[in-house]
Amino acid sequence: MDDFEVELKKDFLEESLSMIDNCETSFLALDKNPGDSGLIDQIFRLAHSLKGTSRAVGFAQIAELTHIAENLLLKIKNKEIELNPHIVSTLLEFNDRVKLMVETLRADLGAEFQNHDLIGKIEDHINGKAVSSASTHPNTIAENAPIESFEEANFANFEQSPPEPIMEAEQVNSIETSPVDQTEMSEAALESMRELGFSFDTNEKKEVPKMAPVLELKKEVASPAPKTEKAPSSPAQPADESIRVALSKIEKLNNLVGEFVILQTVLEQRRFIHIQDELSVKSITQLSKISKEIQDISMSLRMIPLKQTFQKLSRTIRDTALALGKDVELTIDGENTEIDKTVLEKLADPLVHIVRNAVDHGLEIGADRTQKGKSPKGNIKIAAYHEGSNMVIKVTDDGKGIDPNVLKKKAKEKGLNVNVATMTDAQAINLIFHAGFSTKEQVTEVSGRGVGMDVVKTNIEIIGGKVDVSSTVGSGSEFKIVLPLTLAIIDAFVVEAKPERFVLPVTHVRESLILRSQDVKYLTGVGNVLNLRDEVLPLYSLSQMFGSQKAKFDPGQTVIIYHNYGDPFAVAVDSIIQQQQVVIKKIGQEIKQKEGLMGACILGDGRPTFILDLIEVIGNKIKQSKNRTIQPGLAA
Amino acid sequence: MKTDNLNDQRYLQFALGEEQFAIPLLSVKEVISLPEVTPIPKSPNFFKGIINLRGTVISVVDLRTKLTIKPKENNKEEATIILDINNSNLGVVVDSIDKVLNIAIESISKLPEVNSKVGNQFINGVFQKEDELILLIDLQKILNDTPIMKS
Repeated sequence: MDDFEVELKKDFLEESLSMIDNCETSFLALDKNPGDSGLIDQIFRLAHSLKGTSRAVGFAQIAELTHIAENLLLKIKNKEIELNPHIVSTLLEFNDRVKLMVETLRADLGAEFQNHDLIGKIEDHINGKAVSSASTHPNTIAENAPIESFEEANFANFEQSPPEPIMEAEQVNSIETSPVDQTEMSEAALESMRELGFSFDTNEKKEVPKMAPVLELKKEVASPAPKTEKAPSSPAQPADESIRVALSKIEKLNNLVGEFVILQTVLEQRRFIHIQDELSVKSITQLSKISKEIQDISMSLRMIPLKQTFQKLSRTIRDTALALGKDVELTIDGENTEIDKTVLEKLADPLVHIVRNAVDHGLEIGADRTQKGKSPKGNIKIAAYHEGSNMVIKVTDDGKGIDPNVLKKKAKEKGLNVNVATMTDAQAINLIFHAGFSTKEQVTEVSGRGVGMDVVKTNIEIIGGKVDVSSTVGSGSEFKIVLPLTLAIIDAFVVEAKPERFVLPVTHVRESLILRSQDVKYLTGVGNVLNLRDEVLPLYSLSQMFGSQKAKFDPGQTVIIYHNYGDPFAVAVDSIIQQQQVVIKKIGQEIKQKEGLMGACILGDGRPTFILDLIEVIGNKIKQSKNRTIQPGLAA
Repeated sequence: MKTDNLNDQRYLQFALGEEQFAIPLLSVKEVISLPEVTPIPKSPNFFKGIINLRGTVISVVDLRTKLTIKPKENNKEEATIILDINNSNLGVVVDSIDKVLNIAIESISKLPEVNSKVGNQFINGVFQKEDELILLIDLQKILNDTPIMKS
């Protein structure tokens, strides 16, 4: 292979990934809206182009597979075949396989593949043959491929419980299935559910009967009224003027912009005092304005909307729900919220895991739900928004909830090193993140390759985030992930707590004032408080908390008031030296563990200074001691 | 001129108090003289603080304090070694930097009992050079030894 050929192939592999992602979005949209001819046309175009290009650069196997898929799509386009969830599943499988091939080829241009099984399946659909879903495709497919053997287990369930409609199915063709022994699998799944402390009826522990005539399914499924879902119509082809840029270039740029901000701050500070000639002062002022814009744009370069990841989650939910015979309604809020690309990459897996858990362990099956007076469709809501200097992502379900008592009991049984007796319910629920809880020996197909919640928590912490779960038994659970908005160039106060200096982000500050001796009181049992107009606020001394001095509240000091989302508190410092922008520099793991140190920055004089997160140290403690619990549940 | 044997490894030799130590050269990023240090709030005393190294913030540890070795007085040769441990940077202050050693694996011996300030569990091996005894230490183990910070 000469260099030119290699280049061609590599370019194709790069380009095709976004094509494949577009395909997946379209397939999922098609699932909700099978009649949308615009969508079908678009998919057909994508597949056609993929086939042509892959053939041209010499990836014959991709071309071959795509060609067969194209034939199926053509039949669908010409309305010779009607779409059903199984065809969509196969198409998604095709999508996954192509993606897998592309990714494998990126690492090894000479890789070869075995696609007969999938080709056979697609051809079966083309010929209208009943598709045997007990295929033996290797488990090398990406995580969110439909789990075949689970489908088996749950077709069996249909015999004993009224069949639940599969997500948005408009029709269900008769399906032939062959009996497979999967009692083991069900056991493992049930076991992991028990581990997580979910209560469930013994109803679910079923023997797997010989395959009952699944044709019964057909008559019992009422043809669901065509739902007026907010299904997206064929995504318009964006007139997109964009360009691919190497991530390393952007990183370099961001580093340089960071240095630039520091230097420009130095100049700004010397203006008027040390630098006095008009032209220089004017130029520096202009420089500051431009610098702000440069910062904003350079930071935004690495930010991408969560949309992509949410789509993956939507797919995960679909596949998991299908595999478990559950009906799930997904609401997504804030998919256009942007987040740094590298953070997003690390966030994807934990999110998938949490979402899977919600469908698998959180939501009850339809029958149980109706019995409890809930809607037969389980609800999962994924929301993302900016809160202060953080990004918050919440995954909420209205399922069974997590029972703190079961967890406490489990913890005792496992001999975990936690003090169960003094634990609050909220703390007990968070035990699911404890390393001792994850049953690593179990590799349940649905809930991941033996990945426990503790790994999820660790991975989120590695990117500087935190995860918390709250729950009400019977009503549901809510996972809340809080991430720092990276690429932080923030507005902050440089304060003095002699002899040290610290930096406090402006974000949570409500006001600041000069301390007078009559404002400070000491209340036994409470501590120091500040009288502020008609408020009495807890008062802390920065020198004492982070400095090397004893607490002091001297008249003339500056007091900074934090609003703390409704539970304000006050912090006394010697003075506020100035307000400026700082670039957050990461500090090593060895000191990061210390509460309140959110990072460091380099001030104009070159000295490294700590940035303090007082909400973490003080604010959260205040909230905890007031026993505020967060209620999960889906806001209307 | 001896030819480089593939089994030779390079080490950086340095002094702490009266004893000589060495660490693999590969883990050494650079050697600097310590710039201004900002202390870390409420940290163990062997943490000197953080420094600004060309725009990066690096934590610095005083190895002599950690191992309770009395530092040399009026020492103009005091230096700080910047290490790469687990993909993150850390600075360690030492009394002096001596040389780069090329040690053949065969010449590293395991002495069971060494009378040193450094506990035996931190010593990977011993190298005899002329009349000098150089202890090859495992810095990562030493630093991991005490829980660094408790919230």
